[in-house]
Amino acid sequence: MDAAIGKVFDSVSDFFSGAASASADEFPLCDSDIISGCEKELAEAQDEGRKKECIMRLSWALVHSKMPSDIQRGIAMLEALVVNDTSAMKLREKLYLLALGYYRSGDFSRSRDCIERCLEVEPESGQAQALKKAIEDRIVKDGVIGVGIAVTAVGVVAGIAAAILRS
Amino acid sequence: MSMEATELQDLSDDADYAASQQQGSASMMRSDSGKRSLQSEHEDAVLIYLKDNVAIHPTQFASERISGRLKLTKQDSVLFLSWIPYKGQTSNAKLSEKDRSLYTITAVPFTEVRSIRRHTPALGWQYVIVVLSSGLAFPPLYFYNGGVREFLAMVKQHVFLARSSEDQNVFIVNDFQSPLQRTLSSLELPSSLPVASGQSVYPLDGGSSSENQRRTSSDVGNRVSSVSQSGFRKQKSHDPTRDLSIHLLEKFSLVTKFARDTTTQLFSENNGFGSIDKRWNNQPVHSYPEKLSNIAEEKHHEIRHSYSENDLLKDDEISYIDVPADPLEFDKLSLMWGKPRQPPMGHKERRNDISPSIKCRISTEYFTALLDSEGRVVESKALRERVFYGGIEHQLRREVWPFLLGYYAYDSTYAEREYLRSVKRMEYATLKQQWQSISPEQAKRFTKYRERKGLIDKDVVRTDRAFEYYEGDDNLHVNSMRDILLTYSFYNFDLGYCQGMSDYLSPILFVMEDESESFWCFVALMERLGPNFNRDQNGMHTQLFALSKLVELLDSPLHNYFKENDCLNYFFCFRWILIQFKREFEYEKTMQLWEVMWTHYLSEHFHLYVCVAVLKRCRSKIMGEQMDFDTLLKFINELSGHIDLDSTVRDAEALCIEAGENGAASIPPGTPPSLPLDDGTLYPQEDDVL
Repeated sequence: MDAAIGKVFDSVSDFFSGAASASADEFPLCDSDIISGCEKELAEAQDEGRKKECIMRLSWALVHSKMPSDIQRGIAMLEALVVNDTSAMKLREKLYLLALGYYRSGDFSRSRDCIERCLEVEPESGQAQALKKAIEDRIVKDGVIGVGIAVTAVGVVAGIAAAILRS
Repeated sequence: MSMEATELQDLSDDADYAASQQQGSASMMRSDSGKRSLQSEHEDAVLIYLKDNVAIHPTQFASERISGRLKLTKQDSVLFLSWIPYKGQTSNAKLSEKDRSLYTITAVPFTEVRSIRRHTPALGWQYVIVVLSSGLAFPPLYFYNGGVREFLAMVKQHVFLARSSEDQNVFIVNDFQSPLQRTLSSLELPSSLPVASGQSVYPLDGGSSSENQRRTSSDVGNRVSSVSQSGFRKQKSHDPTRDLSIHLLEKFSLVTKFARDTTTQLFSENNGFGSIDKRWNNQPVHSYPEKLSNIAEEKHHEIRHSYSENDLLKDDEISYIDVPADPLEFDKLSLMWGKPRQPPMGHKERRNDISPSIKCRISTEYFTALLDSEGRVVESKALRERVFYGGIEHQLRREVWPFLLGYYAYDSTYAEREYLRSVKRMEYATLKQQWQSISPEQAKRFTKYRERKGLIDKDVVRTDRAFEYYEGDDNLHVNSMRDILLTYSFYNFDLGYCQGMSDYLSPILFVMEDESESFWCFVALMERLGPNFNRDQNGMHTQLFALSKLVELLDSPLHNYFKENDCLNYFFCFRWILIQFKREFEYEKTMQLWEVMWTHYLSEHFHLYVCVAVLKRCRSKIMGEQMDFDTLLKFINELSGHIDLDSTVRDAEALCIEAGENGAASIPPGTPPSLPLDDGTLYPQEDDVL
């Protein structure tokens, strides 16, 4: 009985947690051990350059994390870092990571905005182009599901109305 | 497996509860008066806010969370944030003590905080993320018992918090990336400009301004544009059909996102299904070392670049930079152009000794001589010239200021002025009755009235209280000032009340003494200076633009310096122009400066030349010390009380004559305090309600 219930929940969560499974196929994932490792390195860093390096590494690890709250933290860090930008290469890297963070948190509008800006800085980036394609494919997929949900809702309402009319 | 996970969570809950009991407090504590003090952290720190059972999640397992206590303390007007984990939890064997101390937040000052991001879903746990200026963000702080709103409200009481215009859930703390916002923070005029309009910048080039891109400052946007222009840009195939379909499906994807978020919250936050965690935990991480090595290489390059920057800074510190010569030599020019200004007269006896040819403050006898038998000012230019060079005796200001401000017409007679005063007194009583007749019941439904009254009540009690006319409690003059400002907010309901208006009214009321006449003089002044307080800041921007043009005309090396150091917006002169040097001089000298400017003898925009004169006086210090925007702003603010009025006005006069027609041409038509160009409506209406 427990196994059956677990199986049902597995299938349901698979459907709704498409983001995680899709990300597993396309992007590397970070375990919490890697994140805590980056935090320890940052705590031990002494000079300013080393700290910046560790902060960048930590933000990379966070947006690749499995936990949604870690992704939010990485997004918050990158939004602060992108303002302090000093070079085009750094900006491209941060914009890409920011777009990836938004993509993995399901905010495709902002993700698309960031990847567009990333491609403005460096149009030849294959990594950014791949992410852009993934974003657009994901929008199409979720849009179709959304249409289905909306149509279903309309159908339910219509069914209720028909029942009321019949009685 | 499910049973075991649930049992493990119950045990951890018990452990947290026991830990809370050990701490001796399980509820939120708030000390408004700040009577308590914590000796363990700071010597003089005052505990402001305390919240127990605030946790972080180092791993995805809820059983491994670290619970702790969140504190806000204040010391020397700086707010500090602390989060200390609870001790003695044996259930989290996986995390060592060192790991737990790794996440401790020890008294971080809010001056280092850049923003706070909150996550408050309808389902699931709430948390906030605190982001520092260095770009580091602390782990999310989970509020299991709710209270994120109270936390933010408490922070807002002590720190300037502004909701981000791009994301409703992000709060910016002292956003110093925006020069205008930085200026306003330093000016201590927090409500003089809405935060949302801080991004509107007057185009100094006059024509084009780069589009402000989302989520980055304009500098980054410009850099992105320049980079993309300089490099090769790939030809982008534009497919309008695909864009349209993407845009349409994006709307429907929000429906899916809502459904997914709801389900994900229910499943993952409660950690009810161990198999999910197990499956995720087995995911291998393939290209992590490769990615990190790439980042390391880029960081190494950045380190090299930062070293060269440090070398440049050291060179700057060692060598003294030569300041370009002043194109105008003050001493010669002042001898040729500027007429000597006499010191103000204090004694009747001394006045008798002075020969008639020497100019001095206008006395009653002189003013009476300028009037004809019926009381008209025969030659207003002669009067204005005398006021410009010598000022007015204080007893005579009450007679002359209405003429300078435009309340009295120069060609009006005694009888006409008497009639005008009586008509205006009745009109003032009618206007005042408008708000005095509002009952408390109506006030509850009159939001704008309550807001303006609140603003005025706060401002009048802190305007010029050191001045004897307004000192002490229950001062009748303060009450009159409040009544006049409230009446003006009804007379000019479109503009309302803005901070800084009380700074203008205070000397007027002191001089005129009568409430009605003070009101109408204030109205006349606001006809010219009201654009300073427009919500869209158009009046201020045109004056700052005109000032930049005058500096470019009269001191191009200084202008080029500002251009190179990103100070071309001239926001450091904002306070000078907004309240016309009210806080730069003591009370009596402010009145002298104002009547000089109000004569409009040489120019309606004489105050801009005063700005140029002060900047010229400080140019060697500004350029010699290579001041950047922040240092320059601090320096300008500290000039308050240290500017010599007579020499500054003399310099401004010389500059005004030197600029001549070119100076007048540099100032756009309609720049305040010129009377506004005739429009149908005085003030543009905005649909959004404040």
